[in-house]
Amino acid sequence: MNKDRTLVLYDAITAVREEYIEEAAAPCRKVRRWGAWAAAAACLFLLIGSWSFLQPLGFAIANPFLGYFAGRGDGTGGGGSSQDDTAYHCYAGPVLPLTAEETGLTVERSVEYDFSLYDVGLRDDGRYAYLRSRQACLVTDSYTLTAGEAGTYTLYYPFAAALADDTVLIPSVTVNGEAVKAELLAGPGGDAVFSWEDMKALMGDDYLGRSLEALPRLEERVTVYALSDFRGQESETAKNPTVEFAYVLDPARTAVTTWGYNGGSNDLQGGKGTRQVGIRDTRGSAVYLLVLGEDLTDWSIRGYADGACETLLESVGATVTRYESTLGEMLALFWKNYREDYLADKLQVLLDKDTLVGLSCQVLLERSSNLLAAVRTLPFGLEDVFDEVLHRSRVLYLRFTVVIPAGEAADIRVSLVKYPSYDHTSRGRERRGFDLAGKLGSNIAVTRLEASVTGAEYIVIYCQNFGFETAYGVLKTTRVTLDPNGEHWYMDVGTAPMKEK
Amino acid sequence: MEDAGIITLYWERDERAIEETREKYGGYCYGIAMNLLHIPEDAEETVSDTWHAAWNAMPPERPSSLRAWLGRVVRNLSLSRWNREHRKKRDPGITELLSELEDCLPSSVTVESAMEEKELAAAVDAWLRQLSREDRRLFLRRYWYGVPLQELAKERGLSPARLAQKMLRLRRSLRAALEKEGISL
Repeated sequence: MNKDRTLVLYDAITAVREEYIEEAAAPCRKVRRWGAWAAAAACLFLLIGSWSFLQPLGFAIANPFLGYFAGRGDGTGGGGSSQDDTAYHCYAGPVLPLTAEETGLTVERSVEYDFSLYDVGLRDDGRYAYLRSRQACLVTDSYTLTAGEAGTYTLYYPFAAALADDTVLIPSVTVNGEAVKAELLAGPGGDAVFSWEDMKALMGDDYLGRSLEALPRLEERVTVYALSDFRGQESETAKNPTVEFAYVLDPARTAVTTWGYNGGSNDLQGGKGTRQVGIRDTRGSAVYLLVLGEDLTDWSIRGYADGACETLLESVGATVTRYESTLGEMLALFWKNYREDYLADKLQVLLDKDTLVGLSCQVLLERSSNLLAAVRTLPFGLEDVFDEVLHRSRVLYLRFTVVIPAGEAADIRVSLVKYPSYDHTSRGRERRGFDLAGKLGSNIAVTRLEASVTGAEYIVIYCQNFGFETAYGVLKTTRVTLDPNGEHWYMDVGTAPMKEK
Repeated sequence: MEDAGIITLYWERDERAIEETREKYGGYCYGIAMNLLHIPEDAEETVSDTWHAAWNAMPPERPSSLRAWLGRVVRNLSLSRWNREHRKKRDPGITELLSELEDCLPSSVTVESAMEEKELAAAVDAWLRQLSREDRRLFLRRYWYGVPLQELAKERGLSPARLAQKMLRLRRSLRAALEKEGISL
């Protein structure tokens, strides 16, 4: 390894602009995996089963933060909001209110935050203690829905998520005690959401209406160069056998993008470019170069000993298949491959392939209505579009119908595991935020609104505007009535640790 | 306490400056040091050295971003410690980072002057500027903050293999950008 040279680069990276350092200080997004939730559920079972013998083992809930709370928002009345209190490095979004296609509905709403989801597990020393890796709470958002007129109503339950989040985030819905199968819809993605204010901006301008609009389709013809049947993987002389696809095009009339390549170079003025892929990285799958506009004027492939593409090896190569297709069809193929390879346990598998293709088209067209210009903004090919589709902040909806007979009400209960918003560094301590939206994006009139906390013994409250009574962070009341016309409530919590008696 | 207040304490030679810095940035600095050194005792000592460095540097220094400034000090001190104690042992952390950064090196000779180092830093800055915000964060989470690939994959919701592929693309893109700028290393 040439450390002297890499150390120079290390130093150069150390010296990058402060704004970039600040920008990268927080994790990009917290992932929630089905496996983790299954473990949490198993441990919840363990918690319930083992609590009776935890106490005899000598543990009790204690609050180590006595005297720590400055009272910033602690125990104050609700309904207001503060940018300072609601900006996070990783914002999970609030519990959002039910809305309806029709007007004239009213609800009584009750939201319960259950913090009893903590795991209990063995410590290294063999004794039981909290495992703090489970940060979520279980939210039950209950509605008693009445209508001016009897009839069938179409309801939408919104929840904030990126598509890269897991299936565990999909809420379950019951109507009058019966589970209902709801259709999942994806709203349009927006800029990164770090706060309540960002969430309001995202959901402004009839977000539900925009979510229901037909997604674009891209039927533009593309010329496809597919590389498959790679040769030379077992070559003993090749450290990292690499195939390079070199091409020449007319930059005024043609643009290229790729799927599956590792890298490449472009000479936009001269019209020459290359794309490289390490054969072992392909794991046997084809890689694709898509040509938009006029076809390439020339192309060739060469095999190299490694990714530096300096030592030619004739034994390294691939079969090139050229054919015509449409951009939409190719995106559909890539989504199919991608879902099979990577997305077995992810949220977006519940979205149909057409929706994913449509969202991809949406991302491309946002970059430019001129597709040649749009694909030129993708330094790493169509994978960039997929990343954007998967990681954009958005709101998803569960759509279901409910029948409300004359003079009766419908009881709707939505359960969701809610992961917290995080702020890792700004206050020098753990900060997990949970918030609640009153009317954001909803056309249903609220006549009564309550919030409650279950499992209060497992948390300490750093600050909140729900109006719960607290003393040094410990909740003294666990149920509050909120202003039905209020906009936003928040609470920042920490874990109440256990200490030996 | 606000950063400006902490910096004022340093300038007033008030020892509460270190307490406040530790309170606000202790976890942040320790996280970087652990990512780079992987040994808790070394990370703790590096963070402790960082407070001393801050005390000695302010005044005359008056950082515009205390967090970024402290992070740089931690990175430099971690590298010094690694050079001193771990380089030959090939311990993980910085060793892995440097190994990955080899992909970014354009083919050429050596840096001979501080001027060229500044040019290199400017070229890296320019390359970062043309990346998408998410790609820029991804690169710096890995190569500035030293976040392990597995953890980064979890943060992004990507499979480790896919993330590794993306990081490779980023490194090669940086190499291409440096070569285009005629940067020699």
